[in-house]
Amino acid sequence: MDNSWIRHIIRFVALVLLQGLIVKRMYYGGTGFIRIEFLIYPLFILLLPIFTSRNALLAAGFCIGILVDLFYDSPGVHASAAVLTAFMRPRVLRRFEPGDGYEHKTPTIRSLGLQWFAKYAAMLMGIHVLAYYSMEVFNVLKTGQVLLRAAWGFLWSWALIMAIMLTFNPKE
Amino acid sequence: MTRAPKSSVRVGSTVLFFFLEFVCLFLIVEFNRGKSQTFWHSAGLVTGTLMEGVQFFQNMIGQQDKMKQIQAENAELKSKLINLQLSAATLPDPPTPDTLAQRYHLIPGRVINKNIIGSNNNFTIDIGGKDGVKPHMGVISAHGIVGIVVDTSRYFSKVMTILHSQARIDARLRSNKFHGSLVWDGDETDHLMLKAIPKHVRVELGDTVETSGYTDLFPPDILIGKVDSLKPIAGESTRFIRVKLFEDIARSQYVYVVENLFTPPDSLNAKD
Repeated sequence: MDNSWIRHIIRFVALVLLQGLIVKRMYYGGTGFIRIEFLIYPLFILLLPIFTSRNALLAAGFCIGILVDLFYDSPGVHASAAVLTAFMRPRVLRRFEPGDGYEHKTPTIRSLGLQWFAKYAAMLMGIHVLAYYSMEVFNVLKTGQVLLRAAWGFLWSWALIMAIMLTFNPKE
Repeated sequence: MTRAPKSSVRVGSTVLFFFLEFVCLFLIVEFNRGKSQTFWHSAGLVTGTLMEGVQFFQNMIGQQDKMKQIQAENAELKSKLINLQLSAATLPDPPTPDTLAQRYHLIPGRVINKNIIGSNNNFTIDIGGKDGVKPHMGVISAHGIVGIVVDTSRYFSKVMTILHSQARIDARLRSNKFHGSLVWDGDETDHLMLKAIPKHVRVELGDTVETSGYTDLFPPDILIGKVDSLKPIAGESTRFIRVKLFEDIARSQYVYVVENLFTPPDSLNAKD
């Protein structure tokens, strides 16, 4: 019957390895205004089926976050951001719900349009990077640093996620 | 037509949300700031081996540069050796039996994973317990200090770099030997702050900052960087001295773990 979950598991593994082994190295920063860093694994949470239960979302977010943390030597940092993203996703989905409800299984460009997905990805990635950098820096006195890094991180990550989506344009 | 999920399981999922966030917070506070457990970091065999694989390809691409770098390092080491032999010739007369005893032994290693991301930066290096690496050994490279070994497995070690919110290195100014504590303010990866040097001390811009040798971690006189600028702190008797590092930590590849052969037995160090 329905084995689209295999697709999600493959996506899960691919995104963790991509983030942990390759994207992590695409980093530049710390010596000036310009920072380059990417977070692409939240794409997994973004692309889970629309009807995924809230508990399953949270568990999935925790799992992918903690695995990415293994590569970043930062237990809990990515996981906490990913759990928050998973927690906010149903709320964001409801907010952006088209007038006649969701007709497709997964929120993709193909199913809901480029503009819709761009907004959806921006909203959730915004939440994710803010949570991530707050936890990463973990110091209220360095809010400026959090905001600077979050702004750059958001820009690059969102652009990369949109590029990936436009390149592969998955159906679900 | 699927509506977005509504409120039926909402309370339960909110509880789960707070539970998971609590677990994460616990992990962050427990394992990220001080010493970590092997399971949680890339000295673990699985991620360590994966990262070594990726590093292998990266190294193949830049092989030529690496050779030049190693040669340059060797040249520097050789010259140091010659200098040592020269200075040994002028040492005490009559020499005591331990005058020329070797105190520091360097174990060469290669960085296989780098985390120059954010405020707590760690390296994984490809040497571990089998090579004699132990926690609490200093790590240096061609142009300066790199960090401190915090944990080892058999084949890999985790190094807390000096770019880490918990790192404190005792360092001094070369010209007047005043020493202070070198810390990272979490932002620029090419600068550190030298703290606890009193205001009355005259500090020249461009003065060299080096290790003091007051701890077992590093030999004395290892270069760190040069004084870049001074920043007074209101109401304090000390000031921040901004130090530009000689070593580009984000790019260091070949490192040396410093084994101090004179370190007293663990029982004396227990308090740490």
